[in-house]
Amino acid sequence: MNSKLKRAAVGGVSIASLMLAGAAPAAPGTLAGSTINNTASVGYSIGGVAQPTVNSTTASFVVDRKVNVTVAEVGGTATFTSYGQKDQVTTFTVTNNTNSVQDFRLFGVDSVLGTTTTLNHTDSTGVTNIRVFVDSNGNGQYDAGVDTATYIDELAPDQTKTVFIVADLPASGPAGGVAGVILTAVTASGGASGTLGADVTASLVDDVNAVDTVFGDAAGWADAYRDARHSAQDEYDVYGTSALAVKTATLISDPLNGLVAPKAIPGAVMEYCIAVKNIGVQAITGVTVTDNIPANTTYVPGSTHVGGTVLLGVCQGDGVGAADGSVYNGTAVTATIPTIAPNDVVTARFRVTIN
Amino acid sequence: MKTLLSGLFLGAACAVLPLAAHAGLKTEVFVETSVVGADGVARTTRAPAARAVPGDQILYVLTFRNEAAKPAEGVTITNPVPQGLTFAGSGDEAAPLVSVDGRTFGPLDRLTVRKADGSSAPAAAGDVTQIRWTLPQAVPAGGEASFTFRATLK
Repeated sequence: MNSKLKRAAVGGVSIASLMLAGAAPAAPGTLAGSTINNTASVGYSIGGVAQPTVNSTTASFVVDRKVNVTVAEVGGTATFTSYGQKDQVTTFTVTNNTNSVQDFRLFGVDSVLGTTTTLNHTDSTGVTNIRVFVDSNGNGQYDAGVDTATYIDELAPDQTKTVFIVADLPASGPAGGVAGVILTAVTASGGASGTLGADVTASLVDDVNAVDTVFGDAAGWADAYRDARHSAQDEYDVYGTSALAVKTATLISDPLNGLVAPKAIPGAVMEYCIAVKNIGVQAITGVTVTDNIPANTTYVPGSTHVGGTVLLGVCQGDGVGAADGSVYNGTAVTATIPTIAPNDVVTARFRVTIN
Repeated sequence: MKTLLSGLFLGAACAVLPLAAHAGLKTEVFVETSVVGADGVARTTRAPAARAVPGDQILYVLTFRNEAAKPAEGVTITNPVPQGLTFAGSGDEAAPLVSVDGRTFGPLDRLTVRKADGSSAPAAAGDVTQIRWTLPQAVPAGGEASFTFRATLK
């Protein structure tokens, strides 16, 4: 996420706590290339006479390189943006869990439309001009023109770098658009400062006296187990018009037929239901619904209910009754829905009598 | 004459002074890998330590050989835990004694370590710095005795 644009999203809280629950990776351990020697000594007696201590032969081996890298999304929330925005930033970390200094080749790709993102949204739009930059000064913020490195150079074991995907949003797209992006870090050979080494390859033959390369990384968002690479996903969420209101009118009763198949005749009671759906990705709050009382009708006192539900497209007779003094001004009903979670539908309804 | 005297002197010396290197101690290192077979049973395979990465289990085998013409008594083998390894127990029936300070040897569950704040805590396998085996019986002339221990590569 981009913390500059972070908003207090009610829906984001539980996701954030889930993202932080992962176990910390084990420390990379003994440096590759270290020689481990073992020697023992023995004391003994022959015929009751203590003999000189005998030192053993030395058993040695060289510690091999266990390639392991972790890419993680930072923050557990999306970057909130809007269509047409350029240079929008998502943030990741890349950690070298290898027991040696490595370079890391980096690339970012747009997620496939229709796939479910790591934040459990459906990818519905894309981003273009995807670039990847390494945080040069460790401030965790993308600084254009300052953070220019496109690969990680000489990262020591157990060290982490912040990496940004910078991309442009399309000019337009679906309401509440979601664009997933994936960062992949590929382990490359370290050793030469200032240049990106070649991608590491696993040793085919093990040599007791040489540093062999063994892949020990986990599977990431878009890569396999033990492939010397790891990936994670983040997303851009288009923040904008995110509520959809549908008004329905239902006859409740008339003076002749009562509740059974009522007709719109004078004296009939009509219920208006305004169902508001949150089609965005964040909870929306303080939604105000205003509806004029139609001509030739009379507001039914005490009939306004807020916070009801819709079942199979039909407004239910639920919700909390509102005091007329706060919602009815003689010509219109104004109801306030406190909060609507993403994808939820909440209703406000009132009744009138046909004059 | 002079040569003969030297020879006699040497012979006399042999009778009272310890004999030089009438025993050998060999160490070998292996990497152990546990593989679960098709029948669901885990088997541990032992390979030369050509491929060893952090987290691997290393097996050391020490072999004492008595090259003297008489039995060797009181055979005591001391093995410092190599740098970069954490002691992970012995495969021997007669478990070796261990030390966390190089002075006091005992079973691991009887040893304590002093923490930074001055209090003492039960010693863990990672605290072991030395391993010591003492053979209760003599090793006959030309005989061998083997000892093993395991350690995890940090």
